[in-house]
Amino acid sequence: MPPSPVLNAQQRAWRYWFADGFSTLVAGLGCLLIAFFILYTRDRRVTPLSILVTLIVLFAYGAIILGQRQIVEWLKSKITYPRTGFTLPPDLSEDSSGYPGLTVLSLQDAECQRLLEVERLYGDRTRRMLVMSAAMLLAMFGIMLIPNRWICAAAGIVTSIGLWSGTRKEQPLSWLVLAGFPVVGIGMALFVAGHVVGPDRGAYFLASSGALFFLEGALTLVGYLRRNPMPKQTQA
Amino acid sequence: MSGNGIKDLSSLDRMIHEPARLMIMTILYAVQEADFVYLQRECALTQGNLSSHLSKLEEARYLIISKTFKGKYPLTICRLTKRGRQSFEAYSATLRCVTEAPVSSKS
Repeated sequence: MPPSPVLNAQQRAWRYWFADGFSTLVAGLGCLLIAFFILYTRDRRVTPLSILVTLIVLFAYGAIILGQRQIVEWLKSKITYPRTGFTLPPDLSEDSSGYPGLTVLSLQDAECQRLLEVERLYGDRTRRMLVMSAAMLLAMFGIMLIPNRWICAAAGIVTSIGLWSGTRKEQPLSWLVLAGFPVVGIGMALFVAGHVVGPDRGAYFLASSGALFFLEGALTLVGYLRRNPMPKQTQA
Repeated sequence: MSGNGIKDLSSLDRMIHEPARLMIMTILYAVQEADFVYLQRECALTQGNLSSHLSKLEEARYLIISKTFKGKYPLTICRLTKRGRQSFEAYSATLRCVTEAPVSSKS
């Protein structure tokens, strides 16, 4: 049975958040910064310059982690909203309590079915997010803790499957990312993992992940800008 | 629903029943809020058409229109009121009774 127009509009609103690629771009930048921080600070003599660079990188990373939503909103207010408008998707946590009328109407079979459909969709989303997080943690710890070089290839494949499973409905990632992680993993197994161990391996994997996300975000943004040129008159 | 069968159809809310307004109400019911440009794109309506339907829905106190800014970009934000939500739910329930009731054919 196809989803109701209301659920369809909800899903479109969720996907709209990712349509311009800014969130992926910023996430990629965060991964690149933390990877740079790990690689820059290892075995380095402490100099005023290295302290300054470290502080700048840490500050930028902190800003991205703490203010990711604000950064993305700011970018959207400059680029996205004037072109294709603004919407605030429903808060998942308040979906069952935010529409009190539905609770009353839920005595009717049709409303019961609709609420069950909403519950099933959100339960499914939570499960997918958990699988994705578990896969990514497994991959990172595996790369850092298991010396065998082919763990990198396995980690790339596991990350790719986890990302596909977690994002396929709300934010479908392109084949660039989904095929990119296994390629990065195999590349690391062949050329890097032999001489790099421990956290440095994790840093290389993070850097590759950041580069993939950044590229994905940049390509999505370019595609979005091509499809949606700035209108001459946007408001009524 | 009062359970009067065909007579229940006369209680359908005409303010929502118009297709363009039904689209607007459906989108606004699904999200917390949306601006004029987003609604225009999703409903594929002209500026004048959308503007007039929004005014009617606002007059019926089904939605609130507010002007705000995101950064320096001005937004015309639309959001359903509690009355608007309840009316939409009642409208959906009435329609569902019509479309989901078992249909018997002549034998």
